[in-house]
Amino acid sequence: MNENDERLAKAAMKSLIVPAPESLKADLKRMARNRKKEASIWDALREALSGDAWAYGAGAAFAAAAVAVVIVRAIPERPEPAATVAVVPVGGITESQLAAMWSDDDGGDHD
Amino acid sequence: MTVDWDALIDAHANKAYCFAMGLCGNEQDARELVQEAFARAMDRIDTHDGSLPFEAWFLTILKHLYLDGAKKYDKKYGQSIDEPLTESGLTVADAVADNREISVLERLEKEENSKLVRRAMRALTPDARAVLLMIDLEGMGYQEAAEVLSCPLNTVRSRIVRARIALRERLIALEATL
Repeated sequence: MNENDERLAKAAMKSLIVPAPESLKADLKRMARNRKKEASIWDALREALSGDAWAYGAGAAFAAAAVAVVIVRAIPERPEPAATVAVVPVGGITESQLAAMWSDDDGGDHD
Repeated sequence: MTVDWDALIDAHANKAYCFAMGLCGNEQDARELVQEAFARAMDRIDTHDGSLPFEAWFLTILKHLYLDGAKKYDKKYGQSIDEPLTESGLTVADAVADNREISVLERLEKEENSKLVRRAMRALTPDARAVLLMIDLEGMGYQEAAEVLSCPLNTVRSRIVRARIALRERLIALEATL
């Protein structure tokens, strides 16, 4: 292998050394902080939903309450019973009408 | 897992930027590449098991991101580094260190000429640029470069030889146009 190629490549690469702009470093640090914040929100949520025993109990109670509310809301309201009104024949009741209401049924077979 | 990203950025941003500048050849793309690589590293820091130093692991991410985006460029302008450079192969090119090369070398060793080098680098394939930057700029060993490039050690050895020859040829050609 040509040793000069290696020297040449190294000399060439040396001329490519440039420091990263400070603004880029600042952007990267800002990005890291923002991601950390986002991650902490998700971690908190995940922790809240994690399977501790009390969390299961609280979750079950909450779910039961939610189901109860849904069922209660789903049942239709019972309609109010209609008011009973006494039917009175127009013009009153005569003696003969009352008499006609009686039958001579004495319970026998010939009635 | 708590990671001090500020410290990691302070420690590695310069090298990452140099590497990205060498690959992309311009400030804006290099900046975007470094940001994208850090974002990816932040997402995947849990997968960094310590088998590679952080820098090598990070440069692997950066190189993959670059190569993913550079495939089109590579097809359009580049030549695979693993293919012969010329019909005569390496033997002639490798053996001849002509006066033009010495002249370019002396000039580069005396005064840095980043513009010329960047132009020469642009003519190389992404693989060639990556191996040159890792070994001749970052000072990585062949084994470490092989891990970062995800290729066998012998491939790195042949790539670096070819990449150096390609760089020399481009530099000489560019010098002639000055």
